[in-house]
Amino acid sequence: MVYGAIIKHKLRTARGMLKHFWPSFLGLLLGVAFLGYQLFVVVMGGGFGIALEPQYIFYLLCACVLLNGYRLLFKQTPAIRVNAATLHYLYHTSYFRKILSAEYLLSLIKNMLLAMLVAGFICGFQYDSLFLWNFLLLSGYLYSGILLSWIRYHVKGELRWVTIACYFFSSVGLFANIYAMRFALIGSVTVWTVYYVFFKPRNLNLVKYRKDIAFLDTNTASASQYDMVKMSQITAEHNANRKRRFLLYHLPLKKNNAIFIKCLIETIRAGSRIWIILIVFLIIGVLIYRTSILAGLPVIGDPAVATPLGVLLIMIAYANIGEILKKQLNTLLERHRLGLFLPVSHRQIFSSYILLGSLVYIVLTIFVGLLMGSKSYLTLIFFTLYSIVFAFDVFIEIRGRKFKQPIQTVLRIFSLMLGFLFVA
Amino acid sequence: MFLEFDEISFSYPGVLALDNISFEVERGEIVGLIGANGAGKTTAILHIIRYLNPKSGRIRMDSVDISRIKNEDFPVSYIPDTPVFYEELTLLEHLHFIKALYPDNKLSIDEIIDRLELLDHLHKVPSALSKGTKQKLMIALALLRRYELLIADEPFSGLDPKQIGVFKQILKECRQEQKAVLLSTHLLDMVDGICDRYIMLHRGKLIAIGTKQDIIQRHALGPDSTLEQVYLTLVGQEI
Repeated sequence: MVYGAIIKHKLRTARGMLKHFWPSFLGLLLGVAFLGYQLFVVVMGGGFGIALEPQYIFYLLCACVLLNGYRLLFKQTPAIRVNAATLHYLYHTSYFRKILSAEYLLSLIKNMLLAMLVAGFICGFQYDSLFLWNFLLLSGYLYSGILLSWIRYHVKGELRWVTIACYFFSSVGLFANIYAMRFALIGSVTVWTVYYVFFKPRNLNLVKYRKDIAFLDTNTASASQYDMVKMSQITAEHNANRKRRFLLYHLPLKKNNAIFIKCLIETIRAGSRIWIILIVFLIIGVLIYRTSILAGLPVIGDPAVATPLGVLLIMIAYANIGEILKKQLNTLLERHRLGLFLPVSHRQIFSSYILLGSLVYIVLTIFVGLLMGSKSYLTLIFFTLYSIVFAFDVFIEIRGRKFKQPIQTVLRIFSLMLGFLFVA
Repeated sequence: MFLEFDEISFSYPGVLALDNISFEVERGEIVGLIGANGAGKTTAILHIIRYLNPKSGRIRMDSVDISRIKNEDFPVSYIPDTPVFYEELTLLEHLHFIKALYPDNKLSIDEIIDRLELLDHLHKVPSALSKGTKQKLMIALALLRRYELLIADEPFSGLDPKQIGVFKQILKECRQEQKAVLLSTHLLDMVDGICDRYIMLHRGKLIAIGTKQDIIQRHALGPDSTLEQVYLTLVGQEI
């Protein structure tokens, strides 16, 4: 009866979600099936026994590193989830531990299936010892990502840094050439996470967990009942009440860096969703331009179209970062015009935004440069020129009234041309 | 002594939520845990239900440290300040779910439905229930569990006057059955008269403990003072 009720609840929730959101699920399923098909048919030649080229293996492993990085650094919600009602009604019963164990097991199975798929692509779906080693390593790596995320969710202080160090070591292990080193790094991290989660006395942050799962449950229930108003309302309330990690007074605030720090905090608080969308743009751009995964498709598969499309997607990510910063700048200037006293000159505001923009762009350019295999001198030239374009754009935003629109359009075209220089 | 809350301190980042708080609860008594919002009532309760571990001090039940009691033997039923449900299960399914967990509880589902007037809502899911009915369901589910200590955090929220009366009667019956009740609220007029003793908290500190008459005498207040007047005088505020 107890398990039956929980399963009934889960099934009804899933039915509600499928009923209202089936086009999204279908789209996602088709997207995944399409990517799998392209990898298998186009890249592997549609045959078993043909392993992926090293370049594609590298991309797959990068995707695994990104997935674990997202789980550990960006995911705000707990990696292992039970219903808030399960916690409330069953915590003081023997059922709770069993249900939590079932959730750990379910997560392990999901990660093993994913590891099996990735190992299959790496080894050409030949189930030999090489497949087995890859499968074990990837299972350990992916599941330790879940457990690290779970540990990090509940702990405070130094242990949070330990989880990041573990992520770093296991990720290095994933790319190591020597199998013994791979096993040593990934194995030790996996063993430590399993030991910490399953054998150390439980030290769960139940107050935080209860609050978060209650929010997730209400959100899921609203989605399942297609109550979008309630869903957006509780999400807005939740975001407004979310604890801010970086506060203005945590940083060395001085008069000459106040605008820079304000801009930095505002950018960090823009939320992970926008950054994830931009990273997806970059990755799709790289996939189109650098790989043959989309070859054979009408229009996109045509090399004459693939290059400009890839560049366009990458430059959209660059342009949007600029727009995020310019929007913040405009809000500040607008409030200044309405009477907000700012004891700093426009020149200081300008330089603060340029400095932050340049810092973001240098990180992004190195990342894209590595993915695209761009030459280092071209990367440097691109970064310098793009920073100048950005600075000019911000300058126009602050000063320009006449011809602002046409000048910014010219700048956009110019930055797109720079994109070709960068990835060429 | 049934529950001993002994020298407990706890702080959230930047806020001292409980400052060396001690109190006791006997079997067969209703104790009011009262204080304004942010006084530390919910933090104290979260310690008793083991959601929080004390930074210092101990909590014992029947002289046993609560961290040593097995989950399945933990004799506490808790009504939280915010209702918690399986959003896709009906009211009746919730009642059966808890009854299946605690089949030895003598209280039957029919009895509780009748007592709390839930008959018209049996096949509704929680989102279709009014605030008051949700609160009644939370009370019903708490009563169906096996417990020696009933903790209710702001239990009067959303209840109509008749249901408040019914709930107060249920609490008195718990007292007769030698169960302990800890009633946390900031609505002082609601608990005035039904609690045997009061624990008054203010900004994490214990400002008074005892029966209403004890507190009034100890602090030389007017003999006809209401609980609200007593509390506000002790925290140095006027109505």
